[in-house]
Amino acid sequence: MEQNERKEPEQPGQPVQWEKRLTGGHSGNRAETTAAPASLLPTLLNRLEQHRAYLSPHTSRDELIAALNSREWHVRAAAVKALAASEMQAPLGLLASALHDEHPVVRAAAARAWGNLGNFAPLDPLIAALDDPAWQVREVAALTMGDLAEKGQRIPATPLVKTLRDEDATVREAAAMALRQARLDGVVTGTTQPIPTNMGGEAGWQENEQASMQFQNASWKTYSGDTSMKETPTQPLYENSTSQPAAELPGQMGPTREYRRERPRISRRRILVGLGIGTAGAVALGTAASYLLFSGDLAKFVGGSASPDTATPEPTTPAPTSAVSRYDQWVQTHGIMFGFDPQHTGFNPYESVLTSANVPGLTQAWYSNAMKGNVFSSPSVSGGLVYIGSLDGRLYAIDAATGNTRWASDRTGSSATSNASTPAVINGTVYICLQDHRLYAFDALGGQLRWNSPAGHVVGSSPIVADGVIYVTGKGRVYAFDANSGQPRWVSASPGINNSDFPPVAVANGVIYVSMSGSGAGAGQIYAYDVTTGHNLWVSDLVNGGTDINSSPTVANGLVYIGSGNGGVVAFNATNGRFRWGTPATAGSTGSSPAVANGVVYLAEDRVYAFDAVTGHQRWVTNPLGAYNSDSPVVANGIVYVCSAGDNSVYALDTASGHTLWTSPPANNQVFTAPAVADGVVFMASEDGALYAFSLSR
Amino acid sequence: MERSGEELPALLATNLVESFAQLVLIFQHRLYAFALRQAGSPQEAEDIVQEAFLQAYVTLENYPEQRIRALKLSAWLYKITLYVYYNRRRKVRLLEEPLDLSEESMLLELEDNWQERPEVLFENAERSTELEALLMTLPDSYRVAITCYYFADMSYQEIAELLNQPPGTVKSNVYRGLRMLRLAMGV
Repeated sequence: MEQNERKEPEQPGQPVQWEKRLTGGHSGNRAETTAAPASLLPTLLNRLEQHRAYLSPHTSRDELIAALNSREWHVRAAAVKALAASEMQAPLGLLASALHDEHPVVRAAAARAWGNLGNFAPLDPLIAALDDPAWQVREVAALTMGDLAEKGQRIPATPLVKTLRDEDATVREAAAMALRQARLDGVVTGTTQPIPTNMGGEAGWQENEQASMQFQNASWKTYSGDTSMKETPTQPLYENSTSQPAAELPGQMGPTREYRRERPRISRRRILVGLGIGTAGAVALGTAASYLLFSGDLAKFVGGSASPDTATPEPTTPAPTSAVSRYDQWVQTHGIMFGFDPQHTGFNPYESVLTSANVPGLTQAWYSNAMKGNVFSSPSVSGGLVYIGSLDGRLYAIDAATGNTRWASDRTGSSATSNASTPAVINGTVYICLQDHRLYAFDALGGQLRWNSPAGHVVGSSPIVADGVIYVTGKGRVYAFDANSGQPRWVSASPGINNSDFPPVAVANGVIYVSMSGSGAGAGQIYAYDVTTGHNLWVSDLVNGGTDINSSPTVANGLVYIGSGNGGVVAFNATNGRFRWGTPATAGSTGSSPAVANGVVYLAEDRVYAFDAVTGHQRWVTNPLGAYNSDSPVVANGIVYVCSAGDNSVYALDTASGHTLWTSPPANNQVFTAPAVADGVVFMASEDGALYAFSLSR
Repeated sequence: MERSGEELPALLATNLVESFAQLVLIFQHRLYAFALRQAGSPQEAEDIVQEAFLQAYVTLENYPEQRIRALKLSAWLYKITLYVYYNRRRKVRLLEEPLDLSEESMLLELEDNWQERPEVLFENAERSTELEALLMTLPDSYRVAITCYYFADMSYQEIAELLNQPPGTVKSNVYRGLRMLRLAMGV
């Protein structure tokens, strides 16, 4: 109770007596002299009724949208809240605009509404709201992040830890509450994560930590220009997150500080503009909206009526080749990598040229045999170039339109070394692990070496890029590198498994997921790590009785999907790794990564299977296609593309029925890679080093 | 029957619509008095308190239940009220009467005398009106600190959290404000 919590004045000021003096010496007179006018309560209740009216289920969506332009801030706040209700299918663009409303309580309501979208919305706007000039917004943003964490969504610790030092005590309190909900007290206090029982005990942990430190302190060579080297110091992996006690207030920062902050405002009129532009407006919202485009869910929010089945773009007229396509726009901003995105969904929502109707018309456009070694790398397409690695130790950049080789990197390592690293391309840089088991960064246009990782840390997976960090694996460890500088961020502790594989990680909501193959305790499970610290968060239930895993995980819908060593798909809770469901075993061990699009999981294991992403129930299955090993499917515009090692072809299957729409002419050798689909062209690489391109005849 | 304040957070957490009127009934007078001492105008004070309650309601709508249960309602409502006041004042009054707030000002010299109690400023109730008027002439930082400490019955720590200031600054502002009042009243 407030009265009980009140501390006695530290000095004998006797405030009650002071007040009595002021009010005439009798406390009872206080009410007479300062009583609120009788009109206050009814007027307030009237305004509250007006506010609540917009929260009524009888208020139409159009009325709510119109209310976003109300002159009354509380009406706008009510409209935001009501629109965020699930049945309203909140237009994301409007909510994003409301996050910039001129009134702080409306912005706070928008932050809360944004959080109600859960996994469907990116965290970036909420994280940005932690820096809002108004304490109310920062507080609600922190509380909302805590709620999301409690509901199982992974949230990054760093922004909340930073918020523990907010100038406002209420905000600090909210951040502390959120961190408790996220169970990140360990991060806050700087303690280490508990040691999983299957990670080698204390001694093993110490050894692992030492290895981590060695990695962090390793000399780092940065290449610039003509590849001359210079030593650059390593940097701390993670900011000291030790919290500042709440009682330790920062320096004098009165409330007027708020007004000295500057931030762009969006007027109410601008909100209506945001509404009018619909999907285009949402796209223009940048990171937030594009995240949903990326996951294929934007239509559900922007369109207001689109179902998951209609989220895939409808067939449209092919874009002029001179224009930057939506695919390239996305890739330039977010990158392209194995599995299309950090979650490995394998879903390209930007393909609009190839449709179920015209895909049978695909013909071979060109063929390249530039690569001199075998190929187990899948092609990555960006900016009109196809990037692909070869066992000859080189990375190749091949013109997507002609098949001509633009550049190839210097040879590294031995061709006898297995390597299935698929390049990642973002911000004009290509990343790939080459034959010497180092991570390389090349200029995407010219092929100049920008940096490579030091020797001694064996890495070999397909690099995954998320938020400016490259993640690769090697011998059971996950390595994080700064994408720009190549500086190491951290390396995870070894789980102590005899593991020689290089599975690509999946990254989603601040968590890294990696499958651990090999034998013995700890193998046959998925490991989750914090993206910021590399600390192990959990180890999943056994995928298939502890036997080997050859698949890499895919994250979507709050689940982690992985191909089972016994065939089929197993789904785990993405928050804690607990088993959710598994499909019946298929013909053999699954080595490919599942693709997930519009509520369906696609798996290649000789046949191609479609399973309901929520329940695991099978929707359809094809006849045997020979899609083995690393033949991971790709989904684009209602079509599943999958390569076949059995007949050396790439198949185009209808996502709804599994019917074969098209089959490519056979390559000269087996195909053990995922195809790439970009702007009407299908790319396929065969084991003998040939790269094929198929497009519609003009 | 009006419920006591300590039950309110739980009631608000479970039934905001039904319980909010109780919150208004319990806090409206003290918030109004607080706003009146900041704004100096009854109409302005009423507007401030109405706005503050409305903001409180909408904010509670956006709070998780556990946050509402943990709320220190009194301090929280004062905070909202104060920020509403600051915001309104920012819009209508951009300039303040300049005061000599320099460290060299004799006006701001603190007496290290903890017996300097405010009530000695007033020998009778007749001067209370004069004090109210003088309060309005104080700089915001002093007036708010004095109002919170002596009228809202808040501790230095609570005021420090409200104003995002170190407790020492709050204490200093209280006594500097008192000193100014004493000088102005000639006592």
